[in-house]
Amino acid sequence: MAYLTVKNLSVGYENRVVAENIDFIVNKGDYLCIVGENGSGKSTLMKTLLGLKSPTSGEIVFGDGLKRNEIGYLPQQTAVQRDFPASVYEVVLSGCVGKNGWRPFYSGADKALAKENIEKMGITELANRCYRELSGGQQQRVLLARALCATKKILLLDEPVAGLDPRVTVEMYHTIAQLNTDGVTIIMISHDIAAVKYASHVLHIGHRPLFFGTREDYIASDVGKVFFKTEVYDDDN
Amino acid sequence: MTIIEKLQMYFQFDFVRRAFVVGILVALCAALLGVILVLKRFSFIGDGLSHVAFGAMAVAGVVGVTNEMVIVMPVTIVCAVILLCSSENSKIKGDAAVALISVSALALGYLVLNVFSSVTNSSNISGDVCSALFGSTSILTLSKAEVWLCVGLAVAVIVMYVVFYNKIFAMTFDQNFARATGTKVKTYNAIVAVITAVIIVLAMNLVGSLLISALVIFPALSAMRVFKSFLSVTVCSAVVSVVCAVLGLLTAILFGTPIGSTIVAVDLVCFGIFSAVGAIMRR
Amino acid sequence: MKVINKILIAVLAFCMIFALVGCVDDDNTTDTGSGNSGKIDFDLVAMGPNSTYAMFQNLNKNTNEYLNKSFKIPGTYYLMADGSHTVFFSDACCSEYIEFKLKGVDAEYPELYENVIITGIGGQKTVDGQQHFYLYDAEIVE
Repeated sequence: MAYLTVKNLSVGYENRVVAENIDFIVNKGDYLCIVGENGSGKSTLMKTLLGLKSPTSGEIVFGDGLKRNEIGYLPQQTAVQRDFPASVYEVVLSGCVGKNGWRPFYSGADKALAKENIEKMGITELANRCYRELSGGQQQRVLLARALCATKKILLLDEPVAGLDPRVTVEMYHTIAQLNTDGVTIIMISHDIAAVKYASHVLHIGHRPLFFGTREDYIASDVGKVFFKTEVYDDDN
Repeated sequence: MTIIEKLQMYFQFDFVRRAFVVGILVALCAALLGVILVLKRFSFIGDGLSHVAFGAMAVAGVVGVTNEMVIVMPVTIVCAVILLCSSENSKIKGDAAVALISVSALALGYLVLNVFSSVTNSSNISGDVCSALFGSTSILTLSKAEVWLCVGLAVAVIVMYVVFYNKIFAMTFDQNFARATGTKVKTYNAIVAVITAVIIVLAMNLVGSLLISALVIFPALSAMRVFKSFLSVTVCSAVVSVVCAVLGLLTAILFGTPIGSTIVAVDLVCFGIFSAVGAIMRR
Repeated sequence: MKVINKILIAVLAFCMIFALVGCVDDDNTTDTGSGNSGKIDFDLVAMGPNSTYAMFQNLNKNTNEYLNKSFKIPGTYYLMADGSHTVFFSDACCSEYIEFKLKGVDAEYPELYENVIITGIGGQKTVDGQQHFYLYDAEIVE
């Protein structure tokens, strides 16, 4: 049974359908990259997967022991957060809140987990620094550590390299790929075509799904070829 | 009389001691809340809700209830929930919603007071309005029952804040993440909204409707100039608020200046000091 | 937890305890010699204008706490339409009135709008079914 099975899903707002007839499967250990042009419905799809929006039709089935709140999430940052007075440690630790239910205080295990994830993301020396003083790349690492506190099973990343400079972007992709190797299932939205390089599967949506399959098949497909050609940045060259 | 002798004279009176007790507790609660509200970009909700409370008080006066809280508290709580809980999907968002509700309540309240002036037996409407908006000396005229009510509510608010502190932080920092990972965001938002409404209504006794925003915003902003973690910002904001309220009250009582404005002036000076310290530390 | 946080929380706890102690202290210290001739329980003349005005409001609002206490009150004399003698005190926007009754029969009341200081004992009378505060056995001191 797959972690996530999506059948004939349509997503949108109120009366407007943004993307429809979406079918795909995510198994444990997969690295799925969701690509498409701006406005194709990628973010809406992600919000629907997380339960932040209801689907207009179709269904999402969780299996293989995965519960809905065991999904870690790396959202796009808002202006509020970039300016927030909190220490890195506090931000990462807040990832454990969802698991605690009504319990008010963090347990020793929660705190140990936060420290472990801080080390895993290579930001140990930043632990007591203020979040708003960090660079974009460092802030993303902090948020990634926070997402890992919420789960070890599956991470949804919404445009994780948006606004980062090229060198930091590559480092971020390497970090995420390493997580995948360590056993975390990854679902990433990106409109950066370079992201496909690291993926095992690709879902290309453009108001209706145009492609779902392995990366190799995608590169060989008509849709994939067009997408590669129209993108200016291609780090294979 | 020297200042010390004057203070000794004043502190023998109940009404002065009560003013300080209520002043400290309300300043403390307002500061705790202020940190959350400022970060959620709802700074002006203090002003907005106090105008709603003013409107409700006008209606309560006309209807003739013995205890105005029966009408004022529920109305303010409902408005707080509407403003704070529906920010994402509503067609009118954030500051526009606050302005809409706030200005309407103020205008309607004054209208009601004027039109029904015979019913309220109020010979001096502008006086009533002035004291409701600016607070005048209401903090020095508290009965024992009012003090105990304030103490009880303040203790409840502080306990809830401590218990839900981690959830409040998670939700203020990133509401989407909190919701996606299973926190009951709607419930906690409603709790924060209720606590906000209760404190605003209480604090109207302290500084009056017009100046309540300052009590909520200034200590939080001052703390954020200097401190770097959420916990230290929260605690510092509370301490700053209490100290400024006490200094403001002392100054106003000793030198006869208006109480609300004096407290705000002290808060402003404090903000200036913290900004300067923050700027120096950053260099 | 860092040291600065511990210090700030300690200051906060001190303020809270101060507040609660001040609150509980209420009942014990108000017997400042009621009925003790020569000693004024509430000397409003020594207070600043905020406190004086607030006391005028307190006497009318929280009357029960001030019965049988002695007062020294500054104010401006005014004769009400119903014949009661009052002194009033104003702040920026409003005035508060305290009724008083001079000691003895045929006592001479001040001129209208004359500034006076009066002493008296706090009492309560019922008018039209409502309780009102008033100062009895009053004397004009100045």
